[in-house]
Amino acid sequence: MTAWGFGLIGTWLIFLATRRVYRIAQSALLNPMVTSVAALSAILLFFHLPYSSWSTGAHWYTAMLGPATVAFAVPLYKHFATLKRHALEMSAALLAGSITAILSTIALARGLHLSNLMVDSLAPRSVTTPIAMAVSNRVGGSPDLTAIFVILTGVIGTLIGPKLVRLLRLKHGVAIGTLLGMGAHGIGTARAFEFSDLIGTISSLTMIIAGFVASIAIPIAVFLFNISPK
Amino acid sequence: MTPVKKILRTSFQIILIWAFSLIGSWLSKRFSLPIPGSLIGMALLFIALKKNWLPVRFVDAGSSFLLGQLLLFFIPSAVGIVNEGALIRQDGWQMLLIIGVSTLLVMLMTGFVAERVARSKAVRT
Repeated sequence: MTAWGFGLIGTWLIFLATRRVYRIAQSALLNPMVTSVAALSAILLFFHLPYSSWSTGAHWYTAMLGPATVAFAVPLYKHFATLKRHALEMSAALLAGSITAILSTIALARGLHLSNLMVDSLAPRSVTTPIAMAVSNRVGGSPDLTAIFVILTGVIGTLIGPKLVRLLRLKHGVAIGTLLGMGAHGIGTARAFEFSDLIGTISSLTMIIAGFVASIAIPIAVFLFNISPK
Repeated sequence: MTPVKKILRTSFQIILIWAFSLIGSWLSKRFSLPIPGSLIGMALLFIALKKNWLPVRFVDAGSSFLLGQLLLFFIPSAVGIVNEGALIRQDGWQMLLIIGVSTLLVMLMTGFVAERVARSKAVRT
């Protein structure tokens, strides 16, 4: 009962507190994803609270990922005309980004001699969690591991993304939005909405289309890499 | 609008959005589609808005609330890392290296291509 309550209420309060700190401190390293996950992990380990009992309450938030994905339809609808104007930039960047994501992940994982299970769980890591977990399951990876890789990708991407925007001297909102949505999916999209409503929407649309592309391309890529001689 | 009314309205809208998600999941399972149910639900809601079957004010507040809490919904999966201690000790630095390098390449590539195409379009028009 207490674990359930902590999973549901405590998780939310910790999230609100860390987000508050992030907004006041304005430091990328204090991204609420990093600080709240660190705080919750520390609490679970310190009080010997098993993950399984904490998640009886907390899994309700995971269940909300479905409705949250559906909710993207609203900004998509509101900014549809702008998105149509940027269709060319977005398609070109999406194609380049998707190919880079899939090939570099599989090639690096193979180069470092990771097990097949690890390679297959890493391959879908560049897209949003619900899609990545479904793809991981299809190609024989572990969806749980994939979820962690996806979130690590989002956190790392959100930390380096705004720095790359400055490094590449990106002037166009469409470039900032696609960079964050392609590289850091949902977590990057939350960051993109801090730039502007439009950049956030471009980021979310990029993330969604990248998910569609990945759900088709990754099974093919994994298959090709597996039959190629090592 | 009173706060109570506002909370009720947002809650009702979240339930409505949830219904789209459930319908999408059902369709995905029923026809064993490779696309996750949430994406099908999103497409359905988008079509409903675009065709004016559903006015946007019926889902606006609920959508804003859900998207505002987006990070919260990733937290339980992320905390799952506490179960993977053995794996982190074994392959931890390789995982971080792969994710870091690949994400860097993806972002450089994506941002560069989008900016290039946007600039050449600006020159032409």
